[in-house]
Amino acid sequence: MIRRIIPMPGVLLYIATPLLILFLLLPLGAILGLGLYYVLGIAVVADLNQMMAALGKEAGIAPALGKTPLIAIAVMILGTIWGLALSLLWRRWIAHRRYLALAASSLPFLLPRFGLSALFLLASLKLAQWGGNALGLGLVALCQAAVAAPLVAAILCFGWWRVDPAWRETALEAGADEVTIFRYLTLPVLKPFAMFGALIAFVLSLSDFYLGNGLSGDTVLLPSSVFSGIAQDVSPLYHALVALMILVDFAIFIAVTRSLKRLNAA
Amino acid sequence: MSTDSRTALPSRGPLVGLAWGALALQVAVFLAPVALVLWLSLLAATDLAGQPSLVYWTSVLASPQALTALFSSVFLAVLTALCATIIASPLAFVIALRGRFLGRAALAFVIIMWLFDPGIRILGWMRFFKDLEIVGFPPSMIPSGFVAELIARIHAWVPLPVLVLTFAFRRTDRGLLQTAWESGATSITLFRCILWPLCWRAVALSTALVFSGAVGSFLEPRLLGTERFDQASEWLQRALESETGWPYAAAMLLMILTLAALPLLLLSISAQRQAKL
Repeated sequence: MIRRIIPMPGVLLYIATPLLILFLLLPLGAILGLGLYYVLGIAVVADLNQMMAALGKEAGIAPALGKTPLIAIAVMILGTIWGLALSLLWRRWIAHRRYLALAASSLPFLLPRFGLSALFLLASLKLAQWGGNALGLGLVALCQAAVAAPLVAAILCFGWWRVDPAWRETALEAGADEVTIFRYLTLPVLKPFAMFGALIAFVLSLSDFYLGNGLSGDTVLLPSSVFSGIAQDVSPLYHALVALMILVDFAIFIAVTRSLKRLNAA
Repeated sequence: MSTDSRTALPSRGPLVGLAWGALALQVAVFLAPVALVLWLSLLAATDLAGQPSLVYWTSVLASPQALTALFSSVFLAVLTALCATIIASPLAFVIALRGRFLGRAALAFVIIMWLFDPGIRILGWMRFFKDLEIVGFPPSMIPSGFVAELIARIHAWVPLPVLVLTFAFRRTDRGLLQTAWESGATSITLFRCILWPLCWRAVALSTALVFSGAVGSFLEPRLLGTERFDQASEWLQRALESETGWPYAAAMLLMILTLAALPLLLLSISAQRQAKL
């Protein structure tokens, strides 16, 4: 551990760090500025009827606003359970240094998202030639959960290190079965890590552009709807929506910071 | 009931069954489309009676445009991976050093930036470059084409090395760093002589991870790149949009995915071998 070194490292580090954070904020700031301008404009100038009329013209936004969080919640639940189950194997593989199995099982998360989207799209198109239709929100949720599961499993592996093997031995000697041990001894330790993993799976799904865009079929999800709306500059509503989405991301940032505090304390 | 003494996990039982079930589902979800796409790329004719053949693979490999696009993708991905890993090091070190609120907030910020919507990110860069024109930047100083694409890619991928290196730096011996610091080592010396050699595995891992993700970038070349620097993902997209291009797209896609997975698999094989020695 290198925390709490008393003398501070060089000035160069403390110049480089804010510069990097500024670099990360550049495109967000550029698009947020315009978005806030439109949010203010809409709030000051437009009345409710004008707002509803503008929303009515953009037929894609309302269903996308409803469906995208629902998909994200489904991915959060499925991805967390999947990741939890996967972490049982990962923990053992890490202990036995089976890194190849670990890398192979995390490929859905590590491979380029556009490539994965094209892979599932091509397979679905081939299936469609045979009369089947796999494209749709179910496929989006399944693929996003498959992508999120290795990430959740990796987060849970940090939790597994906190589980003492001696507890299990003692509980087994006392006559407890596997499920009881897992429920009453292991799960409370893993809970903050699982919640953090669930939050990350939710964010991953909410901000996923490639899989949602390529595999949702006729349904349009929020990232692709907003992207095409802004790229074609059809309405200031899209810019306002981006500003609101960035504000949601800020709320998620606070939630992640709090979760990290809980993980440190666990 | 048998137990693995190192992991607090059972070797058999319902939980292990659940774990293998999850792995089987993952293999099914991932390998089924790979098998379908491989089959699509190997069929000489589009009907079911077509015999497997490598004609589409050889066509793609013989096409100068396809090969140039693939080479450009690999080149830019390598450049992105190296730049992102180097740029990420100072922030990773500061986060590793600052474990309390500032460190947590910076870590959360990096995580959010890593998972940020790529569409909005690219639109943000486009807006930023337009804004530079508005505020009177000379056109020669505004990045365009290759440079703009590289900047956007580094921006997209720099959070990942920050996370990997933060965890690696946190495990470095504190006493060693303190001694080096007290002996007058500068930040650059600290990185060059202690942190990078000690954490070379993490550096290699983060470079491989960034390469894997960046080799298939699509929005950056599409919206910020130039036609002169065509990328594999754009070639793939054009093949996908063409009515007869699916088998070619399948072959190119499998090449991109293999290229993306290769460094990670090689790295894990090497780590596994070293662990056994």
